[in-house]
Amino acid sequence: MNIKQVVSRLAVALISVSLMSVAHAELTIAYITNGNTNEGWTLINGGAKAAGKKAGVKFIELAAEKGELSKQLAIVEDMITRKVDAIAIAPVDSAGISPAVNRALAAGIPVVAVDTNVTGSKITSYVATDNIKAANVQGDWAAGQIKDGDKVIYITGDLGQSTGQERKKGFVDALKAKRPNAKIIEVSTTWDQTQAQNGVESALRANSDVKLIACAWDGGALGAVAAMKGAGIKQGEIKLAGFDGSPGGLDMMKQGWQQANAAQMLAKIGAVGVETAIAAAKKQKVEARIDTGAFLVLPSNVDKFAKDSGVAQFMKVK
Amino acid sequence: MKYLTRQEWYGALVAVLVLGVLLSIASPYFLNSRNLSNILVQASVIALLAGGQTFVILTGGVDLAVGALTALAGAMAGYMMVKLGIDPYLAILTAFAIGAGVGLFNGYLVAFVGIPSFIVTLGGLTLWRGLAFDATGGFDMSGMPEPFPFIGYGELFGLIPMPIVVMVLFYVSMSFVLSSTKLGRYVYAIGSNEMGARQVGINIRWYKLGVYVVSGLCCALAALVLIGRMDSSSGKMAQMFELDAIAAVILGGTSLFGGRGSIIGSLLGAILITMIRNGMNLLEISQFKQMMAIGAVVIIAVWIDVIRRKRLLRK
Repeated sequence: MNIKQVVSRLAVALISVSLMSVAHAELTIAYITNGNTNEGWTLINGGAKAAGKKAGVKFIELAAEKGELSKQLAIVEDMITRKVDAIAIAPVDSAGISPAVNRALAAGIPVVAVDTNVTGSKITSYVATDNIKAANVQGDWAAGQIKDGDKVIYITGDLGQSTGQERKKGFVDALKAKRPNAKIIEVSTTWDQTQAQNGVESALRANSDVKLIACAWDGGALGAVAAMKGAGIKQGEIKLAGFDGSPGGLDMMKQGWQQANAAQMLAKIGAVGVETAIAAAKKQKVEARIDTGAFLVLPSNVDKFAKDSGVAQFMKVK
Repeated sequence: MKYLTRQEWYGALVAVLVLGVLLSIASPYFLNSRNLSNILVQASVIALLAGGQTFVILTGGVDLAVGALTALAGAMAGYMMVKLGIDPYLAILTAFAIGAGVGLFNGYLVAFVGIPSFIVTLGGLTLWRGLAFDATGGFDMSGMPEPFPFIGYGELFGLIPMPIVVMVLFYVSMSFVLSSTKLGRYVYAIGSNEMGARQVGINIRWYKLGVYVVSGLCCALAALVLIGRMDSSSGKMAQMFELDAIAAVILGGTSLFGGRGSIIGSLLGAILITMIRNGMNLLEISQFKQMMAIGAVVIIAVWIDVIRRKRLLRK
């Protein structure tokens, strides 16, 4: 077989492959995650996958290995080359992914941000929990548990990020609306459980009359529980309001440590993200910001919520 | 033809071509100028790191800290420009100074104190990344000033992406250094027979120190291209790049035992690794399988190297 024959055969193979792909004119949606493999992201990704399957589109799921931004940039570029009809992406970094997202948009591919927004790009839609509204629910519940003038500890997330700022604002605003004289003792963290534990320990030492602890995320609640155990405080003596609806958070509720949890609808974030991408690929009009809502989990409905949301599979306390 | 097949990088060239043909058949999206230029751009950062790594590996050492040092140089440069508003060219100089400084540190411990390079740079892996987080307060910077958008996304004559230009210029000068300067020739001599090199009067300590400085400077250059491409910097960046860089060198036919290899092979190796990732993305292969594939490729490449070395020793 001489070189000419090889080349012509290759050409035939290439042309037939590309013709085959043209014949299959179904929609192709790329779902690009940030490479997180924790329980929360497993739920979000599971929801996304199920939505893709249900809609009957060609669903490509790719992840930025180790949360590495440059790998995610490369994947977005490869998906532009792959000529997908829409991209749903959970950015590793809101600003850093923007150059690649802009290239996708310039190539006419709609881009939907899932859970984390993209800054510096006019993306098609942003699908996530409205942190302010969800934290409002948490603050409102907390207001019902205390008298005006009582002391409350609030464990913040990273206040250098929008998520941390919004959750704090939502909680404080709702609480102050009903209990304007409530004293809020702030424990600042950068989403770090140990920082939360240390902060709550010192806050409790200085203020023995704290009535309630609220957290910006469930990891903070775990730290608070450890601090309360260390201080010899029993379940329910100080009320605890979690945020996330994570398996660990719901476990704490089943053990009697948490009395309420403002739960994000994790599977729904992924599902709505992909559904929105599909709608955009079909040239339908989509909202620029879609709130997937929050749900106030209480001991009375924790079992039902855990089952319906799929969180139950990760819980240790059945 | 015989000249070609005798080169150490011949295997890598064949691998790139074969993989290219396979991917062209497997995916209709692979063979077009846009995707091929994407592959070269995506390969650029790894190729720069692999270039410096080649020097270290040729002397029989290894630099495991290149990813961490890239993060340190990049995060510091980004922090200086975005947070402190320092002139970009001063930040670029600082990045190179950091690269050279860490290179001197590594080289001193390896060449003068006698700690194995594996240990020095394994410690450096977390030492430099930790410093990158600490010095920048763990914050991400974004919105790099000129010339970074040009380095990352600009095109020379509106045609060739700048990362490719940087990569080509780098490899041209590096192959000159390796083939035509004292440092380059002594690197081979030290790698193939350290005792012999000392006996003929080569000051092996200084030249060994030199290769770590070269590797450090390459990390700084890679960091500058990377923050341009990402338009942002953080201590998190360049995770596990050492694996890709070392893999690129080994795939390029440079022996892990030192003394044998070429700089062009490392370029081909970096392109090969990127092609593998690009192909797997286009063929929609999942994250976990991609991780497994890259790991397997590294082991196979070292396997081939070991077999070749045994054959060579038998002759």
